[in-house]
Amino acid sequence: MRIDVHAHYFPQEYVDCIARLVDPTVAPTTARAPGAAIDIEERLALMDSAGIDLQVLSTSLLHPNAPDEGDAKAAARLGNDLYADVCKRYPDRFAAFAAVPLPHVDAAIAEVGRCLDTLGFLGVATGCSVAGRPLDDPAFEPFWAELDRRGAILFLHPLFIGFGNELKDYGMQVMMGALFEDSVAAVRLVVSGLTTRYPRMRVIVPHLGGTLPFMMARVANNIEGARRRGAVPTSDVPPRDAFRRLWYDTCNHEPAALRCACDVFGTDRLLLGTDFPYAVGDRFRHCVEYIQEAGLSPAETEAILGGTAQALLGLEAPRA
Amino acid sequence: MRVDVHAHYFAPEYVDCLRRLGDPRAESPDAVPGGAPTLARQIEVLDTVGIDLQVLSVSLLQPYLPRAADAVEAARLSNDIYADATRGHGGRFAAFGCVPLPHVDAALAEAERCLDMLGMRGITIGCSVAGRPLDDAAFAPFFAELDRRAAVLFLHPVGQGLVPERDPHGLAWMVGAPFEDTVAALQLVMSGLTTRYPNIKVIVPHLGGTLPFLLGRIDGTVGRRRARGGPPLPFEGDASPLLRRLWYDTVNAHHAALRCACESFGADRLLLGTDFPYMQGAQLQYLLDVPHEIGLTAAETAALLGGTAQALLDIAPR
Repeated sequence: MRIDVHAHYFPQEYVDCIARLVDPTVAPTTARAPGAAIDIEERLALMDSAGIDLQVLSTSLLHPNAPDEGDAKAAARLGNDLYADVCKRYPDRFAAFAAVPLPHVDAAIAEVGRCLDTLGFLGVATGCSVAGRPLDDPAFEPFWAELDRRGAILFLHPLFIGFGNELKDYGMQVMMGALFEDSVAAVRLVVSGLTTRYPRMRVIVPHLGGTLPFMMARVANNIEGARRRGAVPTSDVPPRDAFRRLWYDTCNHEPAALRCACDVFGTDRLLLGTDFPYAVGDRFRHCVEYIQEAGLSPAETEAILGGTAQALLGLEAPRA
Repeated sequence: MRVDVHAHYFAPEYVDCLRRLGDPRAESPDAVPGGAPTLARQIEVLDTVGIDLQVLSVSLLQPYLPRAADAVEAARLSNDIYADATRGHGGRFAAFGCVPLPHVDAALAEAERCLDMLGMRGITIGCSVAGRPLDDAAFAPFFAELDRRAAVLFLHPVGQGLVPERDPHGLAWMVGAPFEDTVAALQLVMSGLTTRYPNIKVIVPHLGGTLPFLLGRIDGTVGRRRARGGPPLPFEGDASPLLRRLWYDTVNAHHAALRCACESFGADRLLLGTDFPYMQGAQLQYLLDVPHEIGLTAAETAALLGGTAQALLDIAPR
């Protein structure tokens, strides 16, 4: 079974709601996606052409993180209901990660319950930061405790923010800002002790972990030093092992990066991702091909293309 | 011959000078890391790991003070101290000089003094200068002079920018530094600086920060922006060939990253770096071992460990 864990769905009603209640600037980014105009039937044909059985849908950067709790709840509920609808219409082809009305923790916990228990969603999605605050902000602690209690999956996604003016030129915000966000989010989860405190929460970091595989020596040495100095919480789990307890989707197109990620994380931590509708046509199919062409064993390749995700998402049995 | 192009010496008089001139970075205990080894102690380490020549530079403590007179005083002091180090100690040390940017005329004068009178192998600057990017138009005359001299330019992060102000986990140096390296190198290329001034020999530390991992993505983004009719770029074709004309030191290497860097840039663009005194003991030895463990030929390994640097920095064989 081939499973794509990094794919987006932008129903217009939800996009409009986010523009109205949360952030008017994010809507154009969805309209600019190369596959913005591709409808469900065409999307399914594209998935077929890549041999992808199932896509797990998430909202990309359109998170319902409104300052007003009522607005956030309304937006989250709308998005999740629309996602539930498409999953119900195509139960063998689409599943979903829930959007949650953080920073309102109680409301977010309630929506997680609704989505996982009633709507049959496979996990929860958040940004690499939430309403301008890092994931390890103490306010969010009860939310992670709930995901840990449930052994739930947490799928992260960059918001194309942060890093001030330094990335404003040459398209660097797109070129690398998102990947820096992924790296920082993963690092913060580990270095803050969050993953030590909540080991049952299962985290998926997109884009091969951003730039994390390449930086692993520096990151691991720094975290070890910080732990020794008492600057950050101690842990029995060495940093490299802590990062190997997360999962990473393969949205990237570069064999050299994939090889580096395989070496650092292990092929068993990687999950196929495509970033549809930002990749379409040949580029979409290349998301699968570049894994098949990476010189991995057939067993490793099949695990990355869906075997690992099938186990992680609890999809062992064929979906009814 | 083994040459380490990325090492630091935090001279107490220089740190005191910065403190006296009101530089807030000189107040922090991190200003002098690694137990503040003396040069004599540093040589013991070189002997232990088998490094013949170490090129010293000021790391984050660039003399970029707001008043030109202060910046000049600090830069001159550092360069005099480093020049002394290169003259003594049995010739185990060379140096990259620092310059009092953003004061361009003063920086030009001090670069000339470093290269013509103090025998330095090149100039070091920050990945940004007093909060300004390297492609700031005001710095063009400085790069023009380095180009005229075909000088070596060693970049180094300054620990500013790219992470939020409240940084309890030390992300500025953990991940911010490789991000700074990435952005600085890209700014030099994407602004056209390396095309306009092709004779400058740029060394980017930390294997280029994250560049080898992102090379394909960089080319893809540039190509798509061009196809969409984005702002014109000062070069034809991909950015990656231009990035391959820079050099990269091997600080923070691990097996997978070094393999990735060899694949993206070629082993012949890589230069041994240790980041002494931030790396010591087993971590430092690791940096000397890993080039032997990734399947390079003996010739490639020898070049990486010193041959390439010897040619690049015009160092006489010994």
